[in-house]
Amino acid sequence: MSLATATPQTERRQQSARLRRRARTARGGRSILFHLFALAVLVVILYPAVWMFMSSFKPSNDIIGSVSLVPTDGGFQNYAKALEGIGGVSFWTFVVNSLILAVGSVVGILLSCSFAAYAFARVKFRGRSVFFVCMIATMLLPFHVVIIPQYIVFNNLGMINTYWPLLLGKFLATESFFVFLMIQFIRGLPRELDEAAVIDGAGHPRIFFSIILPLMKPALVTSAIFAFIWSWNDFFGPLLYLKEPSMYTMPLALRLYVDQTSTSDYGAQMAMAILALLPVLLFFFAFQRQLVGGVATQGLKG
Amino acid sequence: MTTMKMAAALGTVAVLGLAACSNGGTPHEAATEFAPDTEAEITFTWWGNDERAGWFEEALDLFNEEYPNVEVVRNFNPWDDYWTARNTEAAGQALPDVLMMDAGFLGEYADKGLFLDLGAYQGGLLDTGGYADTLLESGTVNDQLVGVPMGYNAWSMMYNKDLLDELGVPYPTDDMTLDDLEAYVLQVNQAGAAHDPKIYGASDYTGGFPGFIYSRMQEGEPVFTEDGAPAFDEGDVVDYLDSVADLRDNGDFYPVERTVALDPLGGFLGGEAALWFNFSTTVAQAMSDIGTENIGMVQAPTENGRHVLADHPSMLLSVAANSDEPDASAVLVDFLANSPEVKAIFGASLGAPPTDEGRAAVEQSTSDSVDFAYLDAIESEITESYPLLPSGYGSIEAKWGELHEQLLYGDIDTEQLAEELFSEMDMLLG
Repeated sequence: MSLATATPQTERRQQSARLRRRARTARGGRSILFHLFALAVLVVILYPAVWMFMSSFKPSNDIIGSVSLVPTDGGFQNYAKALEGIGGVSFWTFVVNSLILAVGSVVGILLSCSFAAYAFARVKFRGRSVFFVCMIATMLLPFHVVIIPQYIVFNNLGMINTYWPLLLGKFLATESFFVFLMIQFIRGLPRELDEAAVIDGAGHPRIFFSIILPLMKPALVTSAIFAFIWSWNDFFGPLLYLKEPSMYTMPLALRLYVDQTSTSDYGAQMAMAILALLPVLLFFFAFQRQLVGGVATQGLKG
Repeated sequence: MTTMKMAAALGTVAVLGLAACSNGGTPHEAATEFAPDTEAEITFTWWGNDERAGWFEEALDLFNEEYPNVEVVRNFNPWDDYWTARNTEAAGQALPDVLMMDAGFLGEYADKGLFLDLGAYQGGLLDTGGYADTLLESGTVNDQLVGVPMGYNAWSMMYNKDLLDELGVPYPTDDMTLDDLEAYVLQVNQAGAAHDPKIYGASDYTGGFPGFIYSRMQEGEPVFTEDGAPAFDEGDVVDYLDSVADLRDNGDFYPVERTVALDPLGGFLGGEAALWFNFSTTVAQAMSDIGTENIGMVQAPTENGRHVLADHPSMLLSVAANSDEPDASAVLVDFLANSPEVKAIFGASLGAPPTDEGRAAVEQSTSDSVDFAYLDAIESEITESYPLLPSGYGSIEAKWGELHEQLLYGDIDTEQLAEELFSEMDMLLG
């Protein structure tokens, strides 16, 4: 009897173990398939980047039209060429110029946009909603519409061929994207904190610097990262406003290697592209955690 | 890229709009003498690569030896970016004092009154004595000399000797007819079929506007009327494109997919097609991109094997109407255009020097000697000025290339191409 009852139990146990095993194998099979697929997609997506990286080691004649990744006649000659600079201007001049603009933009945007955002979010003043709508409207305005008028204004101010046209706006909170981002963040902070400070006799400056600003850190970090990357990669602004190779930024210098009407040095351009990418990559890796954190916080509170 | 094109287009529109309102201004009294120690600061901009920038540095150093107190602030961009930046500056009336111009854009800028009439300086600060009349004519718009050619070239057919030797095909000759050319393309295709990669005779050679201009010139027909309207109709375009319909339909041209894959090189510069049609100066680019010195050059084939050729200004120097230093600018233009030392620095990379003195000063590289030998050989056939191109020509030329690519992909036929080209011209030429 006991045997008879035990047998079906053991059988059932064995059966379920078998089923589990089968399920696991099936899961394992599916997971291998999924990973293979994901890897294949990864290869496709990463191929251009890897191609660019490997091409930077190839001689110029081997780059265009070749899909192969392995350099046949590889070497660091392109990097040597890129580091030599172009048009009599050193490579490091371009790096410094780009850094001046990028760091200037970050400082400008953090300072001006946080002030503006605080005003919009916490200070009641006449016409606030009208100004707010105006600010949002500038976000909707395509950049191309304002190129020419902006150029004429800066030209009349005698600011062409200086960094002012590229930085001035950043210090005047014209980057409405960042203002908006910060407004949304401040609106998510509890008003009770301000009210408590008011009871303690704090005015707006005190509330801003002692309470809001420290709490805004995630929004500030996100803005700083975006401002840096955008400024570093900006091509069009510098192209219009900088009129001397010694003032040029990295993206402009990058293009100087390729000219349709004369001979082009694609190798040096690839090498330069890799070198231009490095700071942004490093910046990204260093602040990746804050970047993701910042964006996530925006999502929750905004 | 799209962003930039859009911006460039917007720039052009703004040039049309804004520059038109501000044509006035006090006419400047052209000086006839310029003391070598005069102090001035002028800006100068050109397009090109690193190498050219180095040459300009040398040339401007020479200029400063002669005029030590004229400071030349210099700038350069690659071709595409050059026009984006210049279009914006034109809208702001803030062009550099001296700038390099292309024949395709000269009319457009000059019509808006953006350039100084250098005619006032001729015989004084600007010496054009050594220039052929046909060439100076191509820098003249509305009877004003607005561009001084730095060099010139002529339409040609280039061939890759290495490839043809390898395939055992004889070189093309200077008296080929269009039928000969068609047969020649097929001959190269046949010989190159087994080659890896497959070698073709040529890419579709009706793919560019200059080729069409060349074909019109042979018939003695104008391309644009004096007031800038097209002097041809849709039928002419269709006839021109259909003249190679057989080759195109049978897939005998270098495949467009491969051209796009090799962009910006294409079949010839990628070393996979034997023939190329372009202005003679570009032989230097061909030699460098293909990595060979064995490039030959003959006249592009015509209906009857005889040619009517024009000297085409490869690059011009203009002085902006908004310049504060017109005299110093004119002196710089004169120096760059005439100084034999400058010609020696550039060789033929800006086009063959227009004056005999300049030409003699050039220590010829292989590409220079191919170019000069060709220009000497065709001297008696250069009987025309290159047609004056209307405002907006640059965009029309680009449109032709774009539509032709669609034609090669089979998205449109030749009649649709002509129709779309004309609607584009209606818009651009008014």
